[in-house]
Amino acid sequence: MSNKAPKVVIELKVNGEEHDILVPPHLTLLEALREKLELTGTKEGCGEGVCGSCTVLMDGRPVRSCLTLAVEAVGHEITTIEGLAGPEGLHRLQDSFVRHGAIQCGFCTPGMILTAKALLDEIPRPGEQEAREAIAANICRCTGYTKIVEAIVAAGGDDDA
Amino acid sequence: MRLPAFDYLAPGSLKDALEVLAEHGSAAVVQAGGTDLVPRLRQRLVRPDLVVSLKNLNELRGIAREGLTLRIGAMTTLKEVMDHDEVQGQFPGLVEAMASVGSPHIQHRTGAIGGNLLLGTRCLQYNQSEWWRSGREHCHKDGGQVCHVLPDSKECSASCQSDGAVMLVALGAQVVLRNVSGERVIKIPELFSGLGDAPFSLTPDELLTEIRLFLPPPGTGMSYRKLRWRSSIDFPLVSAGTMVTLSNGKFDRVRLALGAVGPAPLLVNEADKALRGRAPDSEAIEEATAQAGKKAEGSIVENTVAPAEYRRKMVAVLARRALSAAIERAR
Amino acid sequence: MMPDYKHIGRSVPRVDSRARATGEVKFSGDLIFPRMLVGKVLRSPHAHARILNIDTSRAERLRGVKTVVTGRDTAGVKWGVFPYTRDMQMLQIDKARYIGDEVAAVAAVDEDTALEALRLIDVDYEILPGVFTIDEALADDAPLVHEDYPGNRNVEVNIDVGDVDEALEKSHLVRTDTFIAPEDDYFMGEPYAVVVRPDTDGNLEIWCPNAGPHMKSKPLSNVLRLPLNKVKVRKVAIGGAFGGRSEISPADFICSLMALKSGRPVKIVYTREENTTCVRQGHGMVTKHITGMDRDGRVTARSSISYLDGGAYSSTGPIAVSVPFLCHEQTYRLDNARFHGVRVYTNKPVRGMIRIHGRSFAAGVDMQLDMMAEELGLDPVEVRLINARRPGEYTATKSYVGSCGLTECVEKTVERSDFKKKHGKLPPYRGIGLGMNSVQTGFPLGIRGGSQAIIKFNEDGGVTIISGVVDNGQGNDNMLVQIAAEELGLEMTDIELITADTEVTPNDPGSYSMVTTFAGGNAVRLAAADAKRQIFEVAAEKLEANPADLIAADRKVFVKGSPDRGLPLAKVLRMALIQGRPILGQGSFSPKVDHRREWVSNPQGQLSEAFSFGATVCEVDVDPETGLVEVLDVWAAQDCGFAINPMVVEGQFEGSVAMGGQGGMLTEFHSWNDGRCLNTTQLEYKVPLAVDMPPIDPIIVETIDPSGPYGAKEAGMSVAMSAAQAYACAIANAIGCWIKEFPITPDKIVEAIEHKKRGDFDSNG
Repeated sequence: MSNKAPKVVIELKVNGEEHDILVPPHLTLLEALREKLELTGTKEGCGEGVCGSCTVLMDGRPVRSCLTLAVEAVGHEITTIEGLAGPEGLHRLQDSFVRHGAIQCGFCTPGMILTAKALLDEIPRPGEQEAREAIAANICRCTGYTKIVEAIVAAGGDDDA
Repeated sequence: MRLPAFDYLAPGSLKDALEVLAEHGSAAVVQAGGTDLVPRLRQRLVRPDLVVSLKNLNELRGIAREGLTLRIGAMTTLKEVMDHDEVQGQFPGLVEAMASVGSPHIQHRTGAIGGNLLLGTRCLQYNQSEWWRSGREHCHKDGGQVCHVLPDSKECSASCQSDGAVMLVALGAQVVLRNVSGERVIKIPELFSGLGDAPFSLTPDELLTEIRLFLPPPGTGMSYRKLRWRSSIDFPLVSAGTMVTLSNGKFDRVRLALGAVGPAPLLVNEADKALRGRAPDSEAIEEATAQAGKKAEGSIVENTVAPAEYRRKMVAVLARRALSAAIERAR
Repeated sequence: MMPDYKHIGRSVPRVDSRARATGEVKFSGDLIFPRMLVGKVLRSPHAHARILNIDTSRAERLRGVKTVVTGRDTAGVKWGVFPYTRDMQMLQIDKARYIGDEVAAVAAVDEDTALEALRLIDVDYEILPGVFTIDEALADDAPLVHEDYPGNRNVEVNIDVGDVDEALEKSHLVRTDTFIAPEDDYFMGEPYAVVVRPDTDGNLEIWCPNAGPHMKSKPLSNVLRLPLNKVKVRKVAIGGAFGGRSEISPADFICSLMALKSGRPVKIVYTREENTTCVRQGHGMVTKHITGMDRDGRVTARSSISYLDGGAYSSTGPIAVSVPFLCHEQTYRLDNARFHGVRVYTNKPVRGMIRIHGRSFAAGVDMQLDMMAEELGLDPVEVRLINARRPGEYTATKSYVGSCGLTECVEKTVERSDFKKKHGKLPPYRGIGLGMNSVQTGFPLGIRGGSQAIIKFNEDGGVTIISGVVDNGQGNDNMLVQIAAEELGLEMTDIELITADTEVTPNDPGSYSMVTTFAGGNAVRLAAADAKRQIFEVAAEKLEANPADLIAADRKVFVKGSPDRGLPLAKVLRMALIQGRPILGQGSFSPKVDHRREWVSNPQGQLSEAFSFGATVCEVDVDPETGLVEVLDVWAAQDCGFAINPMVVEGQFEGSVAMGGQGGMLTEFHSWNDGRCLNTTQLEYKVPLAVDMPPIDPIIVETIDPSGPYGAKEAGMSVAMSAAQAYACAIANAIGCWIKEFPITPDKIVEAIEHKKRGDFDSNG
């Protein structure tokens, strides 16, 4: 059993920036983001790809970063929660979450917002049911989801999400 | 929690991948989307020396129609399968099965149909962390000699909880398996060994490269029904996939497959025998589904959070709902 | 006539939301310090085992391992939440009592090394027979979990008021029913993590999820034998608590020990499995209710006997045993009440307080009322109303209830849901149910019962509040800012907060007794009032006015009616500085409770100064073939006194319905193989998902409590509990049979319907 599988240098493109990092093959994308790039907005909530707190966007689609090896993420565009707000301020979704009281403890929030962003990219004006289904696999223990769904629907619009 | 260390290769071609597998055999595991493999790695249920990623094998992606056959590359994502025109038009049951897998994330990007078909069998006493398992004797599937579900059993009862597998069995699909020496094409039931602890009949050097579906004749309807207690994420407690063909208002052919009832999808041949030539009335359906329930009850064991007794009762219910929906579509 | 508030009573976005929306806010596991080590805990894989020997030598020799600790490195002191429940060592020396009990720990340069080091620690266990159910634990020759607790009886609470036996004898109808629920669990979003950073002067800084940093610092200072001023529990974002993070955790101690020994910061992050089994869970509970009722539905007496499966250590046992009864005695008028609660040790993970305190007890009370109403041909709503608490009454154990909007909660939910039109008239397998409950706003917490706050001012008019209040995600920080802004006439953006840091912030009782708004909010209000008094004194001189005629609003101080001839607050502050009397506001608030009241030894007297009340109505549609329940609608009302921020209060109601009703009554339970928890993960322990949640109509009822800040009491917990009751009653109404084992999972529904069809009596007897 190889305990000393050699580390490799990989280039990850995260939030529009390229980073060279040294990783063993068994490091997950989640661990690479949190430990190597110190982007701690993406969370480990369950380690089994169920809770959705580790969600990042890979080429615009939501993936579970705790189930993705860092080496598998090479060559793709990764977006984390830190990449959403711009120089002009919060992303429309972030602002909507804040205004609608859709954030309580905040642990599920990054994964939830990124999942919602992927939804809005595909369906710019989702209805309530569509919003609920999109976040079907993002677990929130605090809010009961009501205001999260409200915030997502309210953020729907025609501009680029 | 960190994964265990392993070497990693991402071959650039199918030929290279097959050579790697030939060389490393059972010291290697294959990674498709990783959504089943990575949790099992994290729990140290599997400790390979080498992970062979199929991510670069574009030749395993895509859906192509050839005559009456629909060929689906094993690395095609679940969403690509679900969204494909031919699949939507001809195989709505498969769409239902794909749509029910896990969560939207896994479908969209990561989950591959080949990976779903080869989903490891599951058991509540087995799919646990290394530390959890360390406090007692290892079970059959975990390299030991006991079963923690059926104490006297010499066999493993871990169950197949794949949605894709069940529906593909109902569709009479085939798979292509390749290794460095060549390829073989088998029907999906032959892919399953029937053993909970070594569920697949693939040899360590074989790769599942393609799934082949056959366009159903006119008068065919199909559906997939999955029972779970939450409406997303969860594996099936029981599931039923069925494809029926009616001609002149009578059953011509019935394929009914059950999921999560044992180590392999269970094809209920008895249903076909019982229904052929009969009209699809409620009496006939009750008979067939009762047969299904009876056939499955022996292999349903207490290996999920929901009681086995309940799941046994639900087989007939799910089978009936799947059949009724399929019959509607056949008309 | 409600005053016209500027900030109070408004649904303003929380001041701490933005940092959560951007992912900038740091939870304990997010903290990164230079030279930080990764800590991992070695836990017993056996439920009950003597520790014969621990050999850490191989682990110590592994490159990258900086320290290894076992029970030998501790003084072996046993800790307890109460002086009479000291039964827990932080690292076990003689034996492990549950699967997960801490045996050793390592700190290494990275996680891979730490994990490998754990493998290199050799522990010789002698496996002992264990007890895994209440019955097993109480059996005559049962092995003892703790040698000094005979019969595995950990805590017993006895309350006996009036003459229950006589009242039952005279009752028109008496029912006896037993209600059972296995363990439920918090499943906070954030798995537990703790970071400890030492400095060269022997100070420790600690970051960990908590429900009151002072509840962490004092026990830590005790077990580490360090003075309090060297144990600094810092403010950190917390990903939910729900009652499960109130006490010191062995990880806190272990991490501190390793930080001290290595001289480096150490971080321990729990897996989801560790968070489930190695922190706290909710109790498994069996409750028998014997209830007497007279012809018109008045409850004459109730005798309740509860057995709780407490797991391997005491935790907050006395509280967890008592609160289910106490909530119910607040809700229902009862002159004759008896409660016998027994908490039992088993070789299972430790159980503590949880947001839904005793779902089997609570659901049992309301379900029995429905049963008896049906038997007597009475309207279940009227039966609730006849027995419901009114303001100005005393509970059985002699707590005076001041403000109480319970009947209003019932009336509003009943009206909005069309309960009366629906109950008994819905199609088959559709049902509607009502539940009501009440929660304490704080309990007697001795020297830690009060909250203090300080408000300091910058010369440009900005303000910093210093308060011990902790925010677990429910919006407590924001509440303080709203209050201070209102009192001082400022904008919320003018106010900074330093909270929940034991080095800097004064005492606060913590959030786990639901008293934060009441005590913490009041303390800040009083500190602001104190500051305002000082400000007005200075301003009055300059304005040649009477301080009593002054107002602070819009960042100014002026005479009532003349806002244009006022002074900017900043100017007044600078004047005060020049005059040598800088403004510093100080306030403290201790709820008026009977400090002689004790959970076990003296369970009577004023429990809290105020109580919240709630009622929930739930409508369901049951699939009789699969037993799956579709929840169609929920109406949840709570008398929270006053909603300082209605949007935040609604969010609490909605989350409460999810946890108490949807999860607590439909899907959440732990399964066991003796002491082995079978479902520790988010996959197998099923918390509600967005697609399964019903529409929720949150109804805020305000009774304006005379003592709460602006009349506010507690928000959410009465809904959490009454939602569980409403769901249980709704399902019973839908299927026409009473299921007394919770949660009401589909298999139980299918079985109950089968029994009913066969003509069997009461399912689960």
